[in-house]
Amino acid sequence: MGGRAAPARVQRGPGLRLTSEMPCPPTGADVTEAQHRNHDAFRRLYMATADRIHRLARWMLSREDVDDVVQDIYLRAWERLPELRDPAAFTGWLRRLAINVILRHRERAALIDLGTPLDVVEVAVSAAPPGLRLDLERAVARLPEGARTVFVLFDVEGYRHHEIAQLLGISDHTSRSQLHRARSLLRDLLSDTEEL
Amino acid sequence: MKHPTGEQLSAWLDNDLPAETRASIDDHLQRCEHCRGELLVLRSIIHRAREEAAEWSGKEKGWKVVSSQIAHSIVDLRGPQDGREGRPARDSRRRRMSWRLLAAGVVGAAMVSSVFLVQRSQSSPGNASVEVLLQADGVTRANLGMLSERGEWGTPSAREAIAAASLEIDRGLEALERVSRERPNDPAVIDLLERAITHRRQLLTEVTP
Repeated sequence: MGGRAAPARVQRGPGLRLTSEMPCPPTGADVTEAQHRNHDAFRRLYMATADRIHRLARWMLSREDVDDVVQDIYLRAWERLPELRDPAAFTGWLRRLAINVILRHRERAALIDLGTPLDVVEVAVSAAPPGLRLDLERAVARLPEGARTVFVLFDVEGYRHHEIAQLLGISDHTSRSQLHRARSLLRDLLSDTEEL
Repeated sequence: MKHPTGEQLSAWLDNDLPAETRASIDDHLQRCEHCRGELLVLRSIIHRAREEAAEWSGKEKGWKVVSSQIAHSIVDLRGPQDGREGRPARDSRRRRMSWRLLAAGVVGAAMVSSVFLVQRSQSSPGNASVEVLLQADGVTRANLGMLSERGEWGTPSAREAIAAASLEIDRGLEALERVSRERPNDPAVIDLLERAITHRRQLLTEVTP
């Protein structure tokens, strides 16, 4: 068989992304001390994780809600940290907590609508001037909420479809469909051969 | 040549296809530059999303808000906020209420209030400290009330003790509040406030489930 080799698949690790991806990952000692109500230790945990948590919230929420929700996430983390049995699992634990807080916030705001008609987004996409190069964050913000949520959870946070389905109360099939939808729309919004 | 759908390519990228379908697409990709290009675009988008810079310019400001709130949080009842190590939340010893210490706390709170009132003429309070104490003790009252309503200790005497402690804290707070408005920034009053806060904290460590 001749011809070019198929391009490599995107490599996916199991479950969530690892603490090694953070520039200064939190230490187990800090987690343990924070569980014992050491304020300074919790501050170190906050400083090590807040950038990523804030980004997660930015991509999943309206701009005006982000800071308040991030604060709420860390307050809940402080409250529930003693329940964490394995300090080494702190980052994944915090990320799951953050996603739950974000999703509950959206539920309260009655924003989730995974059945948003595609034509709503198509209008937005076609309204963009041809050749306009959006930065990724703005492009993600223009996705319909269901597609955006699945894209962030799957491609950014590393959740599997069955995990997303459980989090959002949807089927695996819907999760896959929404992911494809998000990627397809992002492709259109970011369409520029030089950019990509 | 039949191209895979966009959804199939997306699933191929995630290794999320049945083996037979995956093999078929593998074979197609060997021969189709267009589809390889599509995959390249998708992979680039995903890569960008994962590598997107996450730096948050408001992080320090955000910490100040979080720090302030956890200092007064209804669940932060266990220990000091000055970096010293507190006790584990799940320590089974802390689940049992020490009635002796609670009683001592009630008396202590009353004593602090009394001392404070005696020294009124010589002192003026720090408003900021009073506000902290008021807010924190407001939380204390709510939490004590909650514990009482839940009947976690299950006895009338427990509820009475909790109510009494809460009442004494209220009285102390009222006194502190009055004086703080009359005489701000007096070091003696500030010292009393700090002692009251410490004493209240000690009390709370025993009543927290």
